[in-house]
Amino acid sequence: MNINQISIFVENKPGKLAKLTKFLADNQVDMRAFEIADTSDYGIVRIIVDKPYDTVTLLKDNDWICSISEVVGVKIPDVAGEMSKALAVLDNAGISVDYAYTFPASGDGALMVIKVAEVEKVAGLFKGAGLKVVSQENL
Amino acid sequence: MANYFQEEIETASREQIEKIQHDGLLDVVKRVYENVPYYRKKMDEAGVKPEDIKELSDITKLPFLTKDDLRDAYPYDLMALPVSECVRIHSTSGTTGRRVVDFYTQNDIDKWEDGCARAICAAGGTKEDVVQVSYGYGLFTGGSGLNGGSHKVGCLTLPMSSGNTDRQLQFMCDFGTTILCCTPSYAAYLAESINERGIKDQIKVKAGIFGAEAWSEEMRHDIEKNLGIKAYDIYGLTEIEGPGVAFECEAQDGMHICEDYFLPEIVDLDTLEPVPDGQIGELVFTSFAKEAFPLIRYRTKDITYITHEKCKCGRTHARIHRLMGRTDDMLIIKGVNVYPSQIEEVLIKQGMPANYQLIVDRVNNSDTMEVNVEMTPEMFSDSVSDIAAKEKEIVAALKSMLGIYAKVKLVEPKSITRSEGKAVRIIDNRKI
Ligand SMILES: [Zn+2]
Repeated sequence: MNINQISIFVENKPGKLAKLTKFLADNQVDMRAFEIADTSDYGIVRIIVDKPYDTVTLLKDNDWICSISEVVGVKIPDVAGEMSKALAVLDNAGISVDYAYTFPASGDGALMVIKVAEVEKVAGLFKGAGLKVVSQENL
Repeated sequence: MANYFQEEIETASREQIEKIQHDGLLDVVKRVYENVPYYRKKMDEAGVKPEDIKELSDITKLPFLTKDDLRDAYPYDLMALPVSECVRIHSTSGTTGRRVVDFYTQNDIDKWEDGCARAICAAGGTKEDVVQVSYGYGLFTGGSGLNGGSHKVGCLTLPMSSGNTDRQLQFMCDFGTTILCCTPSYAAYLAESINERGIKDQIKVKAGIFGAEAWSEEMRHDIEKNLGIKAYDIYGLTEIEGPGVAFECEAQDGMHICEDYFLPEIVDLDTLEPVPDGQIGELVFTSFAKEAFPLIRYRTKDITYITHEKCKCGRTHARIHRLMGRTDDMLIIKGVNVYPSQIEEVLIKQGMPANYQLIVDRVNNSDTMEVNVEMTPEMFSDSVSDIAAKEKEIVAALKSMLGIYAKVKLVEPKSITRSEGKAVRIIDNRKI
């Protein structure tokens, strides 16, 4: 029901990020979302792609350090206040969010990606609140 | 009153010691010339015959032996006796090239164990003591050497080998260990674990005999303070026999060399000429008493200085200062001797592959040290804080091993510069 996000270790050095994006492009990886969490020395690049397991295998075979983790994707209509509505659902349930980011969804509006410990529970909460949860298959 | 294992020989006069060394040197040179083609060839090339060696000082006429010779001669070419006369072998780990193997007759083992027994007595050991041997057993010399020495003193011996900290501490408490033998870094780790678990009141250890790796005076003080013990240094190398070649006494002021078995020299690092007492140079040994595998003028690559002054403990055998480094890989950072092997050890203990690069620089007249470590799939996490926590652990482990702060930087796999397939471990950017 959820999205399989790939996290990749990248050194925080000129050219390193470009090397990764070039590698993904050269291998025709269809990338839907791209997000970086960085420190002064390194970053964790988080991507959402159409075929996560194939992509992880490809990355590992080429000596990239990466891992796959489940995240919740929720559709945010292009209307003011929709994002805070989604976050309020989590707040009310006392759920802490590790991190979240948004990217443009197919069609209109945006997709918000949320990393939480209990993925299934959060997906259920969103559905109960009338929000549209997006799975890997219907990205 | 000092506690000796073999008082007569350990307190012999200089004349007596030199007589033993003189006779031993003449004997070993004759033995190897007659029985070891490898030595005969080396001596012939140097134009020296056994009859040219008449006095102790004639030793300088003999060619040096290096680790390369030992590797070339692997496995049998430096043996002075047939294999049938030998009862055991030990070996180096071989991590830095081909293995080096040492062979022992029963007499060789006896003398080696005597050396270790002297070390235990010098640390205050008697038959009332319980000796926990937490050096590795097997091909490594540490475990069996101290094990044998402990038997000779008559101590109850706990042959623990290395690792399994829970079991080490359990035995230490249950059987009342009074003397601990292990590497200094493991002793520091055990001290930490003991304090963490709050079991210090159950520990009866009074002395530790720590060797097999370089350690600093600072580390000694830390271990002594944290464990409430006296920590003694012990020296040895597989090529010569193992631990017990030299050991500290209660004065903790240099390690007494078993001079009745080994003839030490200190040579200038550049010219390889002998230097006087107190001057720093490379330690060279002639193991004249060895039957199976005697080495003549073996360059240990260890840097130290020697003194022949009589020690407060009453022992007359010469003392070498705590090792100051290796001729090939020592770095002095912030006045502290740093060896790549120490960093390797820390990483391995942290469950990381020993794939690192040490970058030394000087900023505002102060040395800086950065250790680049290649990220592994096991260590990687989607969470920045998890990775930061792991980084901190490595920094703390390095600090406890080296005594100085090193910045740790995680880098991508295979990103550490390699030259001809071999990783470049040290980059020293200081302009001194
Ligand atoms: Zn002494």
